[in-house]
Amino acid sequence: MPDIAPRRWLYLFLVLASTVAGVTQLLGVLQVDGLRWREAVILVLFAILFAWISASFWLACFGAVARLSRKNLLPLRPPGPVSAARTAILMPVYNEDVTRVFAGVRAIYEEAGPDFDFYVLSDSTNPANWVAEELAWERLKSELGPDARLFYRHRPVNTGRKTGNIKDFCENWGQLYDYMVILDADSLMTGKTLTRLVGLMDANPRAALIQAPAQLTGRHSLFARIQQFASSVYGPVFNAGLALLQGPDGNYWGHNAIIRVHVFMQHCGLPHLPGKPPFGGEIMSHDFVEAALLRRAGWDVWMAPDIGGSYEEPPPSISDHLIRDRRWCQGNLQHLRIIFARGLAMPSRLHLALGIMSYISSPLWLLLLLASAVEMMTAPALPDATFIGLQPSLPLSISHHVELLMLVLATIVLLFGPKLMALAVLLDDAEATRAHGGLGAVIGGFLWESLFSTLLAPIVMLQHSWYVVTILMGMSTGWGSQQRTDRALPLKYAVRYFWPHTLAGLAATVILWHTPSFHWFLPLLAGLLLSIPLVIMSSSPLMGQVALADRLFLVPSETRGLPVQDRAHALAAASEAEAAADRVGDIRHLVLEDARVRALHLALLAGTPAPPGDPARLGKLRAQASRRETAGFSREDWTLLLSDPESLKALS
Amino acid sequence: MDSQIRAFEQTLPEQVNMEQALNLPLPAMISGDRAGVPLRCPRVMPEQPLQVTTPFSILGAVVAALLFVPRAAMLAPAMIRITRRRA
Repeated sequence: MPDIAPRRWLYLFLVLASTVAGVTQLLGVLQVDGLRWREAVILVLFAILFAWISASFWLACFGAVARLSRKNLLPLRPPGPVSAARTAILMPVYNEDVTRVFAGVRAIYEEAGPDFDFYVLSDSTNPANWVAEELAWERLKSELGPDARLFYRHRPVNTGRKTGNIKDFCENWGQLYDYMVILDADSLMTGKTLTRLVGLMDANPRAALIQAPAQLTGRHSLFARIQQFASSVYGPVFNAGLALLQGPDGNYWGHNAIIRVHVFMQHCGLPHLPGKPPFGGEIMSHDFVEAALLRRAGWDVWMAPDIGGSYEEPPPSISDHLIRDRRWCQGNLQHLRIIFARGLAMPSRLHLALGIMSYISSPLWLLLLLASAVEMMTAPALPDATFIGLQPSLPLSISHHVELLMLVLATIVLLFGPKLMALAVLLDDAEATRAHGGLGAVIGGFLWESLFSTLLAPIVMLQHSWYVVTILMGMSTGWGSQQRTDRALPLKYAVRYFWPHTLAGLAATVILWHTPSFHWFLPLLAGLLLSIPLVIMSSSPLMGQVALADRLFLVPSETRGLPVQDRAHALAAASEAEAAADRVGDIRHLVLEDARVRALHLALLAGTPAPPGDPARLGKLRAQASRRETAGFSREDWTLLLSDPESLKALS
Repeated sequence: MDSQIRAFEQTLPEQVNMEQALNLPLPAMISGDRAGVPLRCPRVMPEQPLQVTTPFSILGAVVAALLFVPRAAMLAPAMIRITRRRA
């Protein structure tokens, strides 16, 4: 294994050197007439944010060099021809679209074959989802044949959320398996990748976890297609940079990874943090912490950036993207309490710090903008040249025009340099360029994506700042299921959630209108002012199709096809068509009405602990259910009734 | 190992199948041994110790740094001289 320390030191040096150069330049401008406290604040904020974007820039540089030099980014022993290991593929679900979940499971099953055991681990709290999942499981199992090793488990109470779900699997069935592959409800992996991951784990007994970076794919709205394009073009360079610098100190991104089960069970039992949410209680973003615990115990955590065959879907709209970010923001800020935990390896602390910084950077950027605007507006309006004695003196904006321009240019290079490098890497590979639609399509997609991300940035900045402030004030959020379906957001919805952004943009435009540097703020103001139309347009699947027709944002799965995804989509479409043909109304009633469904439900209920409930209430529900008077049942009532075998048996 | 593990998956009495659950003849498409999961093989995942930071611990670290870092910095030249003399 190559020594990783020199490249890490080089990276650190480059980030620090860039930051020092930027800060020195700004300090030179600001201290001409003495450094006031407001300018000192600007300087500190600038230093932090300049270091942050420098880190991203140099990471991309490392990645681009690694890609262009065709460097092996996974220095592990190659897998052997066969494996005797037993691997479970886990699909934790929580009130997800049942059709899509089982279509995905089937598509992966058909690819991976009988070498793997599949578990659908349901934490669904919606009884309709629960019953639908049982029926979908039973149907899929009967279609795959008696030898299919496809299992289904439902937890009546989703203690510990996804962490608790996986823990429950480990504690009950973990000992049956050497490895587990954890998927998300919208994940897909090819059989080849799964087999290769198992082989790599076999050949490298010190590896506890190998993360297969997931390529975004499979959605059709404009926003999703832009995200897919960005992930496909820029992702490989950033992943290469990460792999090069982290080596065995890798990270875990929560899904699309293979894990050595006994090591995970031994070292990754997560404690409850003292105190109340958002900073106490269950650890929300568990993945980073689990990787840190594995490293603390001396096991290797790798990322396999070139393994391919690992996919997930992006959120369909800006709104869904931001809703997901609210949870991730809380989870990452909670890591503030873990980052200094005893015994963690320094790279693990850095992973946690980068996660925190990806959200904290937004309010810092906002503060920098506010401080700069205030400084601009309160600076005394000087004529172009004044004389102090006989010496001519110019205002800062004129006397230090070159220095300020250099700083702005440096910032632009740091922000857009990584994208340009990723573009160069892609264009260096003729096959990859063709898979993205050819030179013209790639350049066009790159330019439009850059414009879109520039407009999106201030919206995200404002939203993240709000999240950080509310979380620091102690406001917690739940961990609900995600919206994963393409749909055009209506105007009413967009106005309801994005009027504050528009208003902030309007207010800032009015305030900054007469300042001499108004034009510098234009890209930021444009994003805020256009937030509502941007959200509506980008959520539209029709606009996604228009872009597709114009060969914009093409990714390999669209130009070449992706068998596992195409199969999953076809299965889901067929199931939805069938479901529409024989609409059964409220699916929960099937448990009461249909003896076959009730029998299935009871069989799957066996061995599952019943959720706590009031016996008197249960008796009343049972009596009402026997008279089929269920119209007034709440979701909790249904859950209580469907969790009680005795009540259901009494109904027959 | 494989055969030993498979032994855990045999249907045992506590895995109630559908006929047992309802005592009814079921449609042929639902086979008798179709429990949702293999036999449980329980083993507890121990919670890992994580000494987390609290506002007080952060404050303590800041105070300690303010107290000891300047002191160590002031003492450093003397310590270097002592070390050199010993050498």
